[in-house]
Amino acid sequence: MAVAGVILATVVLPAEYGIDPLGTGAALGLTPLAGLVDAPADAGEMRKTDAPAAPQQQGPVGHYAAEYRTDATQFVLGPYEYVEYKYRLEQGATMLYSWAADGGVLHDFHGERDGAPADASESFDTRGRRQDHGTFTAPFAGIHGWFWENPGGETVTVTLSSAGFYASAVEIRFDKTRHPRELMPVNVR
Amino acid sequence: MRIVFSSLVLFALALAWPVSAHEEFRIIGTLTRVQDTQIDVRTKDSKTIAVKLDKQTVVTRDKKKVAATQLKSGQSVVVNALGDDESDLLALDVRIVPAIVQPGAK
Repeated sequence: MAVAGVILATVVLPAEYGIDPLGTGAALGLTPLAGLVDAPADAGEMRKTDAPAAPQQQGPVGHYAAEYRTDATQFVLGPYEYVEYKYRLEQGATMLYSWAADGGVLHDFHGERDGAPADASESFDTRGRRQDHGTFTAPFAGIHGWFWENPGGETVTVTLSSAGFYASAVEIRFDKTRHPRELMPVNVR
Repeated sequence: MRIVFSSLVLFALALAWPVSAHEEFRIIGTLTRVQDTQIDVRTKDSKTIAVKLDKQTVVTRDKKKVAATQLKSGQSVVVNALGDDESDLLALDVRIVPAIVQPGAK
């Protein structure tokens, strides 16, 4: 029993849950492993200290401590390829967006809560469409964005523009490569 | 005492379980080899990826289920597979699709 307890306290808890009661997780370099499992990697890699915080509401006005940011990007999807593109937003933070595809795409506008498993996403909109223009207020802190899949044999290009109180984005390609993007405040020259 | 020890070991194993959770991969390309329990797929970046098949693997063409024996070398396929990385994949489904023409190819 003692051996199992020692293993639990020195290895399993630090590596799996980031709980490090004896400091062995830090000494053995195990605690970072907890982040790989429990928090979505993209949420972790996108968590920045200068990220716009949640708004302070004053009637219809939401005040933020940091400037909004803008983003414009394109995704070229070869036959049957897919991509995910998500912004990190605090609960209540807003953005507005427009995207359009030059061919048919499957799409899922969804979010992943901070701390939830990466496969536990919540869908907001999955209607078939080739374009969409909208506003979004994050219902929870986490990463929020789109999955686009090219269901056919022709290349499709998706063009996205947005502005919002986010700090960064991450692109996840169908081959599992991840491309984090830092987005600059609108008034930075 | 033995029950307590076994419970702790099981608890530790249960906690460790998510470490081995598999990711889903999509492999798109051309079949270069077909065996009863494995296919090799050559991707557009010229990688050849081996994917295991089992009895649960679903093979489709035109959205209809077909036998795994319909898989032939030279066919274009879209494979959704589970694994820890590209060197250890088990196919969930294999879609036989019309020949994929890469941009710029003639």
